Amino acid sequence: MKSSPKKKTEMDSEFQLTDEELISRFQAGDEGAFEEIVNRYADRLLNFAYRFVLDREEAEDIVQDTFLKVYQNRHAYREIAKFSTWIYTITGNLAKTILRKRRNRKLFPFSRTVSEDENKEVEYPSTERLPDTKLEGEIEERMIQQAIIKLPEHFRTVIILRDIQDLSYEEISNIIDAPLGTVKSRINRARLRLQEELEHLRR
Amino acid sequence: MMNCYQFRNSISNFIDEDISFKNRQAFQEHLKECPVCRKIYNSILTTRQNMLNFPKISVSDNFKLNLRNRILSDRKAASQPNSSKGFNLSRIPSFAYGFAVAIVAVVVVFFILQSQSRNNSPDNLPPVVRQKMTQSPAQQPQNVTPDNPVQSGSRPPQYTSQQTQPLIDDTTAADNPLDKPVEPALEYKQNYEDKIKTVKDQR
Repeated sequence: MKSSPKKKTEMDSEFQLTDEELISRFQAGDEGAFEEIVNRYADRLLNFAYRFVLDREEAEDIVQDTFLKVYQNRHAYREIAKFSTWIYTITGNLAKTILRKRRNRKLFPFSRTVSEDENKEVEYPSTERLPDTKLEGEIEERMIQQAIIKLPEHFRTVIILRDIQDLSYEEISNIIDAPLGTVKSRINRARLRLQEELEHLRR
Repeated sequence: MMNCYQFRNSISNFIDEDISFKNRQAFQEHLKECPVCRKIYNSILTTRQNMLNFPKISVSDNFKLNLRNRILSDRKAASQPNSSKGFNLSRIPSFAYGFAVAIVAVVVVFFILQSQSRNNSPDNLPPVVRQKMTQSPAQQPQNVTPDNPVQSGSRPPQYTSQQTQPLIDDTTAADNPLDKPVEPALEYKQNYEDKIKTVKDQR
């Protein structure tokens, strides 16, 4: 089926809308704007959540919960902060809740799901046979991911946001609700600590 | 000239180009001269590059469908608030469990203390003794006349229609130790003393 040129130009103009404009449209009752937000952020948030919890299903649940919260609390957003900061904060908080639950399950081993969790191996994307250079990259990725997991939560958050999600210092500062100076020193310490963890893993 | 400590604190600032011209020069000088710091710097750069190249994962095909279903069910739940009424364990706050356990503990301690105090009361006499105690009032005559009052500790006297109740309650009179008959041992002692007295008089 051929799409009409009018519709295409409408879509193009909609695509150029900023996140803040989209959320304000959604607040006004435009459900299509919400769909556009989902299209823009689903994969980014999934990658962020996945690097946090290292479980694809859980990461997808976190992203679903994030969008559900955005849908339910659309009027809570005020244009004093960037929309990306707001949505990343929601995802980060949900991911931390999942990690806290996991820790609690470890603390209380009578919990029903602990054995499932312990037996569950850490998931990594793509398990197909790969050429040598790609395989090396895969091994390196696993090692880095293991090192990231070993980092304390506050270091892990900033490393993922800065070095994987490539967010700016200002955005990270807003997401984790910490002063810019704290963010800078925390990122530096997190990078040094990550090297120490990698050294341990390579031995 | 920068030392190793200052160099390590400035690595992120240098990588993210957030460093003054003067410090940049000092940083580069130290980088040339110190092989240990150079190794750390290079490994941070490599790790960062690897992290930026991590494969990106995408949401599953049914992600949007699941999200739509969740939003619809959420809307339904919001429009029918009464349907969610009823008992649900998940609604009970976690502190309520602790509070309930504390109350049960207090009740158990109360009962334990009470049972310990009962051990000292006559109720805890051996069953044979208790049976005898319960039997003794039954052995008393059923129709008690005013001349034959019931001993203390037994049931109150029962009067027939022909009998009139005495003005003075004989049951309470019987409780008076002065009105009690002399014990046989005392009587015997008294007789014995009298006999000794008469023998002494005869001498």
